Amino acid sequence: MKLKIPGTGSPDPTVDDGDPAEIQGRGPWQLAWARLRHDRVAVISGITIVGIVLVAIFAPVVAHLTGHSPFTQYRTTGLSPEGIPVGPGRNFLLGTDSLGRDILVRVCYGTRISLLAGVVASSLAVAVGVVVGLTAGFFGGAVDTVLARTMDAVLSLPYLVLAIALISVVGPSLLVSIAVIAFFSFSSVGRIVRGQVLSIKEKEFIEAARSLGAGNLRIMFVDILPNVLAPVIVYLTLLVPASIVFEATLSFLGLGVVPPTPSWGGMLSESTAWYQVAWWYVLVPGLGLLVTTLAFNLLGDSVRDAFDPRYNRLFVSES
Amino acid sequence: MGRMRTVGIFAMAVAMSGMALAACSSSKSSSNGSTTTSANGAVTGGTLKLVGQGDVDNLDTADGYYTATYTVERAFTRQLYTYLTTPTLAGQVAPVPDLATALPTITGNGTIYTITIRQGVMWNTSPPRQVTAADEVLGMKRLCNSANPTPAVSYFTATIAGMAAYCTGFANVGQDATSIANYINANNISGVQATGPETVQFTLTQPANDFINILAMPFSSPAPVEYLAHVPGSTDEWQHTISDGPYFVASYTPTVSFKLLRNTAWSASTDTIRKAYVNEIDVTEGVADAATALLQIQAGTSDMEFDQNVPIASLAGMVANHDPNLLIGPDGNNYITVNPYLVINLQSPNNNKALANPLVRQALEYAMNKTAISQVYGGAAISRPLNQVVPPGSIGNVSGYNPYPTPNDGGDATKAKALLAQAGYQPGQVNLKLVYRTNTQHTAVAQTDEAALQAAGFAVTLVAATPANTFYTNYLQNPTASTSGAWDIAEAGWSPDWLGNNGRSMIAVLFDGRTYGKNSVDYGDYNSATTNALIDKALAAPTVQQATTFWQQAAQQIMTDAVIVPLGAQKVSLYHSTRVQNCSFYSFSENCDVTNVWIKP
Repeated sequence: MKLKIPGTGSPDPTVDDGDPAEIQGRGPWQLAWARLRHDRVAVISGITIVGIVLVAIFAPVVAHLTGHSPFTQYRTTGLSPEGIPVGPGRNFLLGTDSLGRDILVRVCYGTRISLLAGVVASSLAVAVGVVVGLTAGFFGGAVDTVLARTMDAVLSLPYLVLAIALISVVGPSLLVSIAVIAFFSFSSVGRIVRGQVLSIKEKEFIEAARSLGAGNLRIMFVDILPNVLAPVIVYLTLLVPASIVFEATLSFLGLGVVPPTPSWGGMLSESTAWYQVAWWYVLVPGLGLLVTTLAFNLLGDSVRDAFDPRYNRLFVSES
Repeated sequence: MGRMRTVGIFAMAVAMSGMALAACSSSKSSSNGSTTTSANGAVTGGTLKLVGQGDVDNLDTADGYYTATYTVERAFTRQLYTYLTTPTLAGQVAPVPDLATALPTITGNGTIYTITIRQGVMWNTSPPRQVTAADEVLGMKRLCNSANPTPAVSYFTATIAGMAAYCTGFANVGQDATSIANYINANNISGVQATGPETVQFTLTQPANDFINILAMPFSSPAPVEYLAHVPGSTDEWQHTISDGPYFVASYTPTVSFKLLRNTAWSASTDTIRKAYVNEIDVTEGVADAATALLQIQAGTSDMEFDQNVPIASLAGMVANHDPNLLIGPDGNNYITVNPYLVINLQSPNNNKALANPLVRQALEYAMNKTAISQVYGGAAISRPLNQVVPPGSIGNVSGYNPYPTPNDGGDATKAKALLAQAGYQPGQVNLKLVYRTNTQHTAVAQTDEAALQAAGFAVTLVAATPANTFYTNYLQNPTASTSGAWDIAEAGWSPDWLGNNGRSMIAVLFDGRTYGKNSVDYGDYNSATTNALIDKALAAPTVQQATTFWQQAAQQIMTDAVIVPLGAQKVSLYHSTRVQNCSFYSFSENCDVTNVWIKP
């Protein structure tokens, strides 16, 4: 059997149809990468995400080019005397907000918050979830009972209500938002990892490792962990957009990033009173949020497809 | 005391003669069919539909303390005195007789008020019964009931002889209807006596030039004896209201709706103030927000706002187009609310107690950009920069007084920096915790302040109070938070309970430091012997003219001490459907007067 990638202009260099003798053995990671590279949606999503990251990195350049800082209130040029924002034009390419600030510049800076919250909170959630899931699944017994029930409990919490209560007590900030998002997200990862570990730890190679004298920690992190990473990575890519939306929700409710730091959720929240007279106010941060979460979600879907062993859309068998 | 909100308007009583109002025998019936037109073009009949987001706070006059509540209370309750609904504020500031036949006869060096109640004013009981002096006495005796004491009880304990002692005794009584009724029946307030069937006499502890204003609060309404069967202010009682006004509460579902129908026990000849044109008043509650309420009114499915104002985003367009259905009140150079003003926490230990230094506070006076704040609130049509503690329309305002002038009221960063330097602080050295609410305009206001303060050499840390109601309970009205430095400055707002001679509801309550404590509205803990003495003199002055001088002196002393930074004075914006006529701004309920508007068929 040899594999062929249909619909691609140039053949995959790792797959040489001409000479069966050169077919190389490839691990699941290489296969996944190969599939991903040839998934058009994944490529477009990836490019979009790179673009978004560049926007975040070069936000100060945008501020420099426009001459508008994200915090400066242009009360005479950016607002009518009655306080109505001005629309897109030469001075303000994407219009101004209710305080006369440049929405283009603020949206670019808001990208930083969203990416930071999305990536850091998701990574934190995954790291905690992996450790907890690994520990619970590997040790079993009382440890498992306590950890697994804890995860169940966290999953059953009404997260938004609790987040509001928690932030009311400790006060809003980006760090608190990230901690809240991570806290409410780690359990789903933990449960997946625990389930995987429960089955993997019964495999012969674990027994082999143990008989060779490997300790618990080594078995957990060297032998088991690499085998559960694929679903974890899939979950991570899907968690990022969820976290971005979660952060935007918190900021929308005034529980996230403290103003005047621009965040998309905060901007959307401010814009709700103005949408009838200032469409750009709601549209610009809304589109930013939409494009970013869509890109991450589609990439996440592609990553999941790429790792799925039952997946057979791109690779067809040929006699 | 004051209420923290805005809305309101009212209509005037156009001279009306011989209005044939649907009056007949049965005490609780209504007709809602036909309409009649009077000589001046006003139409009697129809249904007035109000739309709102929230509900009244209470239906018992002893407890209701909210302008939306006053809108409803105007229709089914009456007071000894009240305010006219005139097109201009000038006609509304002096209380006029409502249940009373005339202004009180004042004797005993200004301490004894004798008032006679009109004949023919009836409760809509079965059969209808005359409102008596005993009912007025009962109304006063219920005020400090142990279950739901009136939130403004100090108006009464501070003025009426024996009230404080009566209330102290009441505090220890059980909170059930029987215990409350027993205490009321067994005890009297020495300063409130029925000296005849329709004559009630108030004895004051000292002269009070604003006592008629206090009697014009709905708190001072008479209460029918039937109310003793219920716990005052309880939801149970709300379903059994008894009316002496032109309408009665036919149905009320909390947070959902009201229906008020004509009270046939009411007679137009006993009431020169309420014309009662419409047959029915419906209030629908629970719309999502002000914008939704506005859409409903614009679409004609509702007629008037209940508890909302015109959203600022929509206001500019309406003003520019001279929208005839937009009502901004009060008229002319009069304002309802001090909103916002910068409260300064004088107890704050932060920055080496910088805020205790008058120079630093003066720097704050110069730093703020008041024009920008006014812009946040919708611009000149509805808001204007305020440079003294009392806005035009309230007592104590001094025309032209501006102790800390800045160019175009936009702030003077140079002067502020110089004052900071004089106080020994480098730019950025004083870092102020600005606590703010995260709803409505407050976030925008906080960021506007931050920009101005930073330009003037202050550093600012924004502290969000979430949810918004923790702003007062956790910060401004919490002495522990104040002394520990949880906040330094904050934007608050204040609406006096009435306009005109309202020093008791404005300067006294906001700046008399002797009352400071938990829940005090002297948020910054300002306590000046000079100001306190002026307040005492103003309250006890025999005439309003003399009181005015003392209030003005107190107001200027407060600004000299620089303990708040007044920022803006605000009017109220309302929208009504094209059907609604005679909709003048009634400053007391900050809405149109539902008993004086009429509906164009």
